[in-house]
Amino acid sequence: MRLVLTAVVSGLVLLAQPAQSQTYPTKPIHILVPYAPGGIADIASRIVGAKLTEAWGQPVVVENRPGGNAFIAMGAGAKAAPDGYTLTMATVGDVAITPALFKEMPYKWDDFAPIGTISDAPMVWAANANTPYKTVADMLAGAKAQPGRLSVGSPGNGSINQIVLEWTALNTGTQFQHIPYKGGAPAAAALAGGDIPFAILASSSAGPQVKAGRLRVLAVTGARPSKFNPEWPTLQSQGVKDVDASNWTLLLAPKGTPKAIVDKLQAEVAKILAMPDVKERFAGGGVETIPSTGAELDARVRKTAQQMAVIVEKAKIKPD
Amino acid sequence: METLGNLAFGLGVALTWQHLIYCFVGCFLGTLVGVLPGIGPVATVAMLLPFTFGLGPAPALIMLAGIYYGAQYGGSTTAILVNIPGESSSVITTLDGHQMARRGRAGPALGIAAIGSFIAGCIATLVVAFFAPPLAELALKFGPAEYFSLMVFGLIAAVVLARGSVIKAIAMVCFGILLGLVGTDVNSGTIRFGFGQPELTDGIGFVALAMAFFGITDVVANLEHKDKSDVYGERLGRVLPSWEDMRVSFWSIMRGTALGSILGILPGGGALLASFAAYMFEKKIAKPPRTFGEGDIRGVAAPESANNAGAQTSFIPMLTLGIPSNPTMALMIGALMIQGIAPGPQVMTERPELFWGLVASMWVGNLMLLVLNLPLIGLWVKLLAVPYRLLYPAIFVFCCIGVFTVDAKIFDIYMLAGLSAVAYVLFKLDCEPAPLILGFILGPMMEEQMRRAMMINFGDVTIFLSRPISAAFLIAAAVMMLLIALPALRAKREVAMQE
Amino acid sequence: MRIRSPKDFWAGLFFIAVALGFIGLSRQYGTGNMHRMGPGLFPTLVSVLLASLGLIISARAFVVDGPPVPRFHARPIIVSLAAIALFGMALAQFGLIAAVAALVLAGAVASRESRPLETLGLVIALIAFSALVFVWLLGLPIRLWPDA
Repeated sequence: MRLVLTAVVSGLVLLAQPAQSQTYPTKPIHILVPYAPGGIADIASRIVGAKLTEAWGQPVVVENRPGGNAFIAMGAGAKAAPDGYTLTMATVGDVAITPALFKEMPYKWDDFAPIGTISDAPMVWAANANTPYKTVADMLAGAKAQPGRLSVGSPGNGSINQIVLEWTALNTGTQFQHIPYKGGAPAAAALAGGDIPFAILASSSAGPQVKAGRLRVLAVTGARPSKFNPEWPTLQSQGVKDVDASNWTLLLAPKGTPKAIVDKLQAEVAKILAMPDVKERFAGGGVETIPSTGAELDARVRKTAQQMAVIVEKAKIKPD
Repeated sequence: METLGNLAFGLGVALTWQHLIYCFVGCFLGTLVGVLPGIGPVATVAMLLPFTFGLGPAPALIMLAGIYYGAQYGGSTTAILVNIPGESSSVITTLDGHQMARRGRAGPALGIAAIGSFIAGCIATLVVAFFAPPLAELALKFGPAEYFSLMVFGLIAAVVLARGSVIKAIAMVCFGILLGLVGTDVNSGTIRFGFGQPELTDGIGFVALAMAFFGITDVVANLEHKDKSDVYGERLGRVLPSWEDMRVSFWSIMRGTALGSILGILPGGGALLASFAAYMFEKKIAKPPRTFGEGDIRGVAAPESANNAGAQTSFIPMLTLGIPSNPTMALMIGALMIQGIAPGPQVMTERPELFWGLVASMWVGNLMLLVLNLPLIGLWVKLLAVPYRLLYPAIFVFCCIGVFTVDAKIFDIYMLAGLSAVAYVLFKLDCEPAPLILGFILGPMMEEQMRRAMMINFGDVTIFLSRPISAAFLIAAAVMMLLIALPALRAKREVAMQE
Repeated sequence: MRIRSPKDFWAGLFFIAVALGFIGLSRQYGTGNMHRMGPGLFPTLVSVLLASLGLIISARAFVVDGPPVPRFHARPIIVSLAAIALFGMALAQFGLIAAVAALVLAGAVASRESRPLETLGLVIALIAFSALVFVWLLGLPIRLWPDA
């Protein structure tokens, strides 16, 4: 309601002035989110959106267009008018994994003008506390003893979590059985209830279960330990070469958006991500803010996409 | 005794002015979105999320929770009045609720829904307060084998929903399952029956399906009758349920509450399952005269109590385990995390004001909803006096906007039109929609869990019988099958003798 | 042989047709084994069950008496479906206001009792209500007007 009022008031004010590119934004900005409300991409958009509204006096409307492997929102975001009024909040999977999985895509990375990275959510490889596996070495030994008999849960086929599983298996010469769930919550519940011995989860959904003594974290999946739980070792430090993955989000504009607008967005978003209260909000969800330039984001996506494509091919991950 | 002390402490938290206001705002918005078909609590909670940034965690949670159970209350209104389930969990309420409305008993139907919900809400709040930790343990015991067997039981029981031919009801369950399988297969990632449409990768929308088979088909059927203004009868009857209504429904409310409280803790559509289960149970055991399907008040009281109780107890996995049992809960976890609180077992001990404040506010919220809803009934009933030629275009508008708001997909509106055509044909052929809806929801879950159970256990089918909870459901399903088959066989013999 | 219960006969045929369609489509998906059941297995099993049920329902229609298929009224159903489809097109192209107007105006044709002036009033009332409740109060991201 407040948003609408702001829109009306600022709309009236702006009617008096001629629209110029320096005055961007002169109307509400839409952020397309390829996921249902409640996910990290959604919450990140809402936190950043609220701050953009504060800074620029224009409402930011978060539009959830879930589904279709994110094709619907990503396709719409790629084809939107390049005027800076339709942005897309994607996750690493949408830009680096999905293109390796599907032959026909309604969008490609080059359809976008990158604004910057937003948030970074660490993931963990966790074991049920009643299993005998205390370290990554224990687990790998178990997998070597009975190849393909140890089940590892993930939030779904083609998720970054599954990539971590296959990447680890490839680099250590082991085999696991992948059990996909419909999202992170059921996977966490299945692990906590002991249906499966292992799962690769967002650290935020594993954390409370670890405190309650139901789960044990064997490793974080990034190259560096998580800021919030420095006591958890990394996969790399336990002898799993190269594996480095986390679930990060990024903000995109359509290709052809005037550079002045992309730069203005980039600068403002970076400023927002550095604010202590914003950092605190993200930290509440176990997520770090990772401001970047568009060029840095572009380089990171290209590098990750290459890595992912190799893993997808070697591990024969297929959507069907 | 300690729990009582905690509850009193919680009441102290919930009864501050600030919290009362947020609780009211939540209940009010929840009722509103519940009444409007399609727009669910998920969209509303998402919309309000940024507003909660500035609040503390307790008022945020109290307000968002109010939206959630308020929506369960409001969902029954359109189901009863115009045969449109406002929320998925009120599909079952259309069966007898709308029939009551057509017989001039819309008031008592709405009244018993509100009163049943209130009683259920109060009892379920106590269940949350006293039994949250053990119930959470029970929820964790449900692995894929248990879910599979529960779904088998549910699908066989779905046949009880049938008013007419049992065999057609089973066929409708199968058709519902097949429609439910459209979309991405969780286990393999394959997109099934998608015809290359990205909009179909997540399957057919439940809201579109329910509106096609209930709302739209009902309007078309009404328009086919010559005298359209007579849909709801001339006399609108009394506005509140009589004492006799209350007496008849009392045990139905109690049974609905019990079933709802238990099924609500199961992640994945607990409240919906609860309302189906309560209705089927009632239909099987209720004392004569039984008029289920033709406006039996017990067919409204039981499922409405069940879905509200289920809505309340579905907080248990979130509060005690940090595991959301449905998308709204996932959002609430998001809201808590933004406040710097990781939901989980420690919330109860580290932030008692949050846990007990929320539990107490549930009770306060239910009272508010009752006070909010009872006076509204008169208004709703008057709505039925509007000539049908003015009412039905409004129904179209709310159905269409409702379907669109789910995922903001234009495709879903065309889907609504297509499904309505199918629903119309099936309606003309006397095939009932309720078993189809149940098959649509349970079938895909059953497949998912069966395949997962087989993967985890490497193809060993004995798992379904060696796990006690799973075995119990399968035995119950077998007994149920016998109970259904016996009367059918007897009837066949009678037919044969007559010839 | 005489069809004694036409409703059942046609319902059975409908189910058989649906089942055959799903069986055909399922053939492109693997059936797997007990350990790893393929995506094609379950739909095929359910379809086979549905086809057999359809067969029984149709066959029984030759034995048991039943009511005839009720008269098909073309106007309400066809107009309603068209109005809904029109709503979709108008919403995509011109925004909510035009879509609601299109839906109500077209939908009014479904009933013979509709009166032109009343319908116009209803259009205005429903536009006002939807704009107020859905867009303003609930803040749903639906655009009201065509994009400039």
